[in-house]
Amino acid sequence: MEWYFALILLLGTVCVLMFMGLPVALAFFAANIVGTALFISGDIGLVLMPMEFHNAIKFTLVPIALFLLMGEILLQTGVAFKAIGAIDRMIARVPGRLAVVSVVGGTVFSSLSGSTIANTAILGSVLLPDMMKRGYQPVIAMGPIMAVGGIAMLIPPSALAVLLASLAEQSVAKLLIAGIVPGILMAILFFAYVIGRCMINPALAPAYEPDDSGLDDPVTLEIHWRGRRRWAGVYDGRWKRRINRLLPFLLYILPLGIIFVVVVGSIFFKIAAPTEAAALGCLAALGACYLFRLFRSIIRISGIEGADFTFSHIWKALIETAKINTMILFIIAGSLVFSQALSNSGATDGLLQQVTALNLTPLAVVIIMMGVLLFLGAFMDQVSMLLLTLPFFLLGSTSLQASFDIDVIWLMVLMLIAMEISLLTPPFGLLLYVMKGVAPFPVSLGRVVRSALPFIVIELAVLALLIFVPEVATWLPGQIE
Amino acid sequence: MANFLDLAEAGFARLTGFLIALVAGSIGLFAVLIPVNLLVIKMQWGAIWWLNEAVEYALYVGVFIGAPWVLRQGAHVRVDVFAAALPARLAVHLERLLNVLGAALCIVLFVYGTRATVLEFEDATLPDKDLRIDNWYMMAVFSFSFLLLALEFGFRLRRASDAPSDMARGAF
Repeated sequence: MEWYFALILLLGTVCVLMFMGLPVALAFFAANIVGTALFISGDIGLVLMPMEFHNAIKFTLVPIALFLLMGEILLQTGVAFKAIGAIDRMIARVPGRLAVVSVVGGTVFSSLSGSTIANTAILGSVLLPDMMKRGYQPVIAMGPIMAVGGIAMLIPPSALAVLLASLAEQSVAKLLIAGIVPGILMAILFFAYVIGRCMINPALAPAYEPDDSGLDDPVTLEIHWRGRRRWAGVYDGRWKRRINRLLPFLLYILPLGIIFVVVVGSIFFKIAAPTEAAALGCLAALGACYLFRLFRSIIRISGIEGADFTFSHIWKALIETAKINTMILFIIAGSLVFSQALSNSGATDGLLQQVTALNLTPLAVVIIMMGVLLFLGAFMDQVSMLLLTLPFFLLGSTSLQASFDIDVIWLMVLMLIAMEISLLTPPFGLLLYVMKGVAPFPVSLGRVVRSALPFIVIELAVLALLIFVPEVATWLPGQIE
Repeated sequence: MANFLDLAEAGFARLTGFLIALVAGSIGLFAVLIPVNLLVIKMQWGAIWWLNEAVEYALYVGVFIGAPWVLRQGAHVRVDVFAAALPARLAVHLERLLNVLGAALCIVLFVYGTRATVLEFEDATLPDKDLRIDNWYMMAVFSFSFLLLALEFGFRLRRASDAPSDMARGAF
């Protein structure tokens, strides 16, 4: 069979079934059956196929579950919401204050959750109603929330980065570290855009007096033990206003900062492998939650509510983690034999030879790859598009990355950014629909798209910067060596 | 008959709920044991030598035994943008077709999984690992998972027949 017939048959099976609405994992399983029967030793190949799924689930995929668990613990216990509240209180008078809060809060939260959809859904449901109440135009209210959701893909711990590096059999640690600078750069550009736009057109985000109630109250600290107050102290001096403003930041954000330090620091300084860092992150998250609970029961500080949770919240976090992890790994299991079937049918080599024969430069190949990802991302979810393109882009000695000798960490960061952008591109960008779903008012998809547009342009600019200045992504991971 | 099927479905829901609880518990256990192992290694007290491979086994088993519950929750990733654009009546028919297709696919995988289980059992093959669990156990998990998935597709088809209007609204 000619390679292009095999390519059309295999990709066609996946795409037709996927777009009909069959679960993506099963669409891959169906293509595996077709591919194995035709290209990998027929019936006996099909009998041996289940063993391949066993071999596909590797230890390097464990961080996905653990990073998901870390974010879920902070979500289910309510600690993540406290952090956003603390950022809200700390940022005083800036143009487009709440939009700025969403950028800063989203960046902090994305460094803890690693989940793009969770990030957008939470910021959307927490901040959007307040923004609308204060007369913010939807264009400046929805855009930053959706855009900052995508940063979760870049800033560690990013579950998608772990997945990409694991499947490509590359260093998970280097890719996680490589996402930091582009992620922060993107957050700074979002921040600058929001402030600049609100300064030029203040009507987009009417200025208002932030809720300063309680800032002039005396600062009190009480120690309770077994239901009785054991000690109490009061400060009513001239610094009380500043202390009241800073305390939520110190007590809510700094402990969460420790989680980031534990995860990224242990990887960067080679104290722990990514799996161990992720597990340490889970314990640190749990520790932070229990610290927050102390503020409710034993150490009572004015203006600090702490968090109240029980074991049932932790259990819910575990169940949610099991759900999302199963969902992701089931697709991976389904797609594994797919790349093998593509390879055995000659489809991968045939297509790659055609591309190589075009005598393109590596830069042109990278730009084409990004174009393919942006196109696919408009129609399907990130994991599916990753698994469809990996056999051509990254896997094996004949892949485009190997053939054109492209820096693999750089390419993977570019792929993450392209996937991040594709989350916002119409007609089917996932975050557009998440935002439409959580918006507390009826909003057309067109309006959601228009509010995302400036941020898509910013993300494309960062992608272009990274294409032409690879060091932005490769410098920091280079320091690990 | 309907009563029996209701009972069967309720039992099925309890079974898949129990299985996902096992998966959740195993993830919690990794989160505790992996740092403990790191501590043991850093303190030069040795290592929990079987941990990485046990986690690998647990992850594999977890994915397959958890998948039927995830399907029951309607949480498997689907690209349903085209189905959503169809008129309600057509969407119902498409959903039925997908359930039949899904069940057929899972039955094929169940059959090949069972043949793989028998083959591995007869050959008494072992994995290339330090912590060795006979391959046929792993194949049996694969087979069992696709049997449960086929059953869930069957239940979905039944639910769709009972309440087509709900289905057209995307309740399934």
